[in-house]
Amino acid sequence: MSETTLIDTPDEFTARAIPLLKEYLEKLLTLKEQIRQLWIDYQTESPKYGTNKKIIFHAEYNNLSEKTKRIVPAVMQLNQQVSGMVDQGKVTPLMRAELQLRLAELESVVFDINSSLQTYRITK
Amino acid sequence: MAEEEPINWKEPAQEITRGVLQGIWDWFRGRNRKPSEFSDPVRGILILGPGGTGKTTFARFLSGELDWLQDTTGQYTESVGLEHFALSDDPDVEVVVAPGQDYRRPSTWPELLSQVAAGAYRGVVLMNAYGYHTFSTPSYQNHRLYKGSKPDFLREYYADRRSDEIRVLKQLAPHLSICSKRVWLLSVVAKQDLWGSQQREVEEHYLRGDYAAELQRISQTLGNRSFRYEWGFLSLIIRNLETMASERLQSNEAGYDMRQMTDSLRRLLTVVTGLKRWEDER
Repeated sequence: MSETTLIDTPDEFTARAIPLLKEYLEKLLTLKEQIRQLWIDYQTESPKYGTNKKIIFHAEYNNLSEKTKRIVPAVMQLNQQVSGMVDQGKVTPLMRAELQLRLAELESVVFDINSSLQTYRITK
Repeated sequence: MAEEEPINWKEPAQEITRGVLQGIWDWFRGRNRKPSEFSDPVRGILILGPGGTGKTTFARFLSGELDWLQDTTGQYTESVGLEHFALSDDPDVEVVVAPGQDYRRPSTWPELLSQVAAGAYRGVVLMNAYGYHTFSTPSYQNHRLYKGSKPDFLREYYADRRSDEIRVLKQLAPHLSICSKRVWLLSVVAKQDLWGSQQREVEEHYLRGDYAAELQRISQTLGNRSFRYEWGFLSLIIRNLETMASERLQSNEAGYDMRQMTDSLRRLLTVVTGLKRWEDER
């Protein structure tokens, strides 16, 4: 690729990255809660689904799992750029601290959601 | 003299690399331990170094997780926490990789360094790259050292990263110096494909400068029977140094090919064999 690649200035980068970090923290937290809630619902006796209960819950689990698998790699790409800015970027000390804190939260939830997918796995 | 036929290095290189890695795996998992030594569990290996020097790549090669023959285009992926690799055929022996970014060190390194002092690791691999570290700011223009000129930035960046390599060694040194068990240190200078033509300067930098002086101090403190250090100059992947925005910072050197990479791995095996011999000495 040529050197004409569009580059955000450090200020533009932080202005775009911080809302994204907040947005995807919320989205992944919601997704994590959905995975947990699905498992709780699955454990709860309900005549609603009849004999198809297992198949339906498995399908719903798969949907959440697939969504996670699509979002997480993109989030990791964002995280890596943010990490680069925290580590060696041209940012003010306060901005560095904010990026580091927001990154720590998002990295934690990425770790959590992967372990939630294992813990609350619903098999067919 | 008959003209030599051009050699396709791909297959021999693959075989040699497999052989080198097999030799290193055998050593790591203590295949040749004497029966009397089996009560002493095989201690692991710690891989330490600044970010972007190739620690995870090295661990993946060693553990057999990444087959470089299939994947030579892999992008840089930063380690966000401790990574544990088991050797492919002996899950009991662990290769531990610490994240290298400066701001990540306080959450993981103190405990690891205490473990080094306590003798939890039989060896430490210290990864360096003569300053040619991969970094994750989207562009070099976002880097704190960029002041408007790319050549100036690169000069300053490489010097800054070389200083960080020495800082890492200085951080490790006090813990290594009080290690309660025999321990070795292997300093790997990776990314030879980027600096190969400067071999003399690189050796000068590591074998005679501050870096070597620090190693000498550790060696004097612990003595030759308790501590041994070695060097490896090599390339694991032939790849240009680029930013996340694909801006080229350093091209791999013309003429550095699979053959040279394989030669560097062969030399590493010789070094590792020397360390193994030292480990076997009683």
